[in-house]
Amino acid sequence: MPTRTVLLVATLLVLAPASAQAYIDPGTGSYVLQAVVSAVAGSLVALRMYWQRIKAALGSRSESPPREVPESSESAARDPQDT
Amino acid sequence: MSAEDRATRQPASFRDPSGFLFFRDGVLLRQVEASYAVHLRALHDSGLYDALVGSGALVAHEEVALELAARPGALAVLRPEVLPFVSYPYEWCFGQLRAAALHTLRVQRQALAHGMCLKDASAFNVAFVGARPIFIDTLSFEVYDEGRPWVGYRQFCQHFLAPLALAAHRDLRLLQSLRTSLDGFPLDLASGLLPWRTRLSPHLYAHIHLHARMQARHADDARSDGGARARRATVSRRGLEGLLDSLESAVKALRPASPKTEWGDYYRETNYVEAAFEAKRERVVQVLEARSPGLVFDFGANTGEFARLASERGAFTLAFDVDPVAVERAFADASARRDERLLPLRMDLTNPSPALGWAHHERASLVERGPADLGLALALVHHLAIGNNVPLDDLANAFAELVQTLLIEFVPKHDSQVVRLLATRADVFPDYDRDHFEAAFARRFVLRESWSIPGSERRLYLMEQRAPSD
Repeated sequence: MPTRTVLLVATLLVLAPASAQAYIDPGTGSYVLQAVVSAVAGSLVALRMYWQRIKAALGSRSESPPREVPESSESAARDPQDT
Repeated sequence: MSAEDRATRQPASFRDPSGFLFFRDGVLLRQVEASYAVHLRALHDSGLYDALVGSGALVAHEEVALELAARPGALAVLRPEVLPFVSYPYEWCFGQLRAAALHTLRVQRQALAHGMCLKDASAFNVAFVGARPIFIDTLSFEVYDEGRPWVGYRQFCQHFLAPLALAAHRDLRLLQSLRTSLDGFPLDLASGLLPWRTRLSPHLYAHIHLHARMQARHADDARSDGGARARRATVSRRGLEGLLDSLESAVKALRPASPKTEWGDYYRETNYVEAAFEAKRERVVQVLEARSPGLVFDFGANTGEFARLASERGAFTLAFDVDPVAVERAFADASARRDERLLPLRMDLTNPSPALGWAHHERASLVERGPADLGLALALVHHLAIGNNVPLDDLANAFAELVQTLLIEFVPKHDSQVVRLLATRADVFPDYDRDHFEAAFARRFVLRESWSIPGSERRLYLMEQRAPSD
């Protein structure tokens, strides 16, 4: 993300109302579960990222260029009918 | 002139305090309230709006004069791009609900990449332009507050994951239950209905089975702790990305259960005379080219063969069929062609989509979303008149509410398809013949032309709705 965007978002965050209450009920159970699931899923994302880096470091001598970010929004923006 | 006199709120637009849709002099506008200022600015300044609209992922809008606001206190008034037809999740086939789910996740990821986040994940926020899903709620974006769990998570599981999992692992027909559960499929019910083996999928286990248990366990928390536990839950940015990965994997792994249905193989299996089919096709093309309709409803469209003739000639065409497998095929075919004018929908004409939701106004009935310029009712009349005992007069009345011009095929009693319908039941249709058909429809329509279909006893009629004074 360009620095300008980061700065802008940071500014907006400061300006944003402190108590960001959702207009729909997110559900306590859903929040608690989400915290647990995302902790696990987040570590998987991190592991995969490190694995990609290791692979890239090892493979960079042979062919493909190293990829920093394994999951970009572009990678998901291909085709609605991905099958 | 008083600004308030001619502004009427769109009836479904009342939940989100950030703003609402309204009509002014027939034009659809969106009032954005001052409370949404930070988020609207971020949407534009972060580049998210341009990125989403540029790729066709989000409905475009232009800002119009503030004086057009429906009521005082508006921050801005937007005029959104208007879609030819808004379909609802309970009318979609499996592939459409799946495409809408993946689209929602895609929009959410792109929002995150721009420092924003979706504040809900309702399936009603997605519509289809032909086979292409498009996000239609501009006010669903908010500035991402790192650490905060995703507010839309529960809704995503209820609106998308649970019905898709049920359709994939239990029965495709369960998708129709979305008509009665407008806020998505209850997770405890989904968990109970899904086969035990779905617990072996880590994604489905977490997002549905465990989710349902956690909901039950924490159901009374808000009362006992005043929401403290919910406020304590945190989700890191990487965690949120992992969660989205997991939801995406869960959705992508699902495939529709494929039962053999009555209509899926209609074109392949009937002894349809080739010449008759060709002749009918030519007449349809002739009518389409002479009338160049903007909106076409094809009733009983099967896999969309005839509907495609209309969409290829520029009409936004709804291909309605009762059979989920036929709609599935039509959608897969339209998606493969990236067709933006043909929208297949599951619709049972004997029980079409009613007005639903709060005060019957939230979701419009099929009739309220019409009328179409042209309706096609090919090889359909006998299914309604004989298969469902609908009197011919009532049939004419129903079509008169749905379309301006009608191209309808009459299938006589001695046609092999009708003989088949009557094979196992008493013939209680003494009036089912050409004369009675013409008389019934003449009450509501003016007959313009009719043609016999060579190689069959069937007949095609082109008719226009009578003006009330006729």
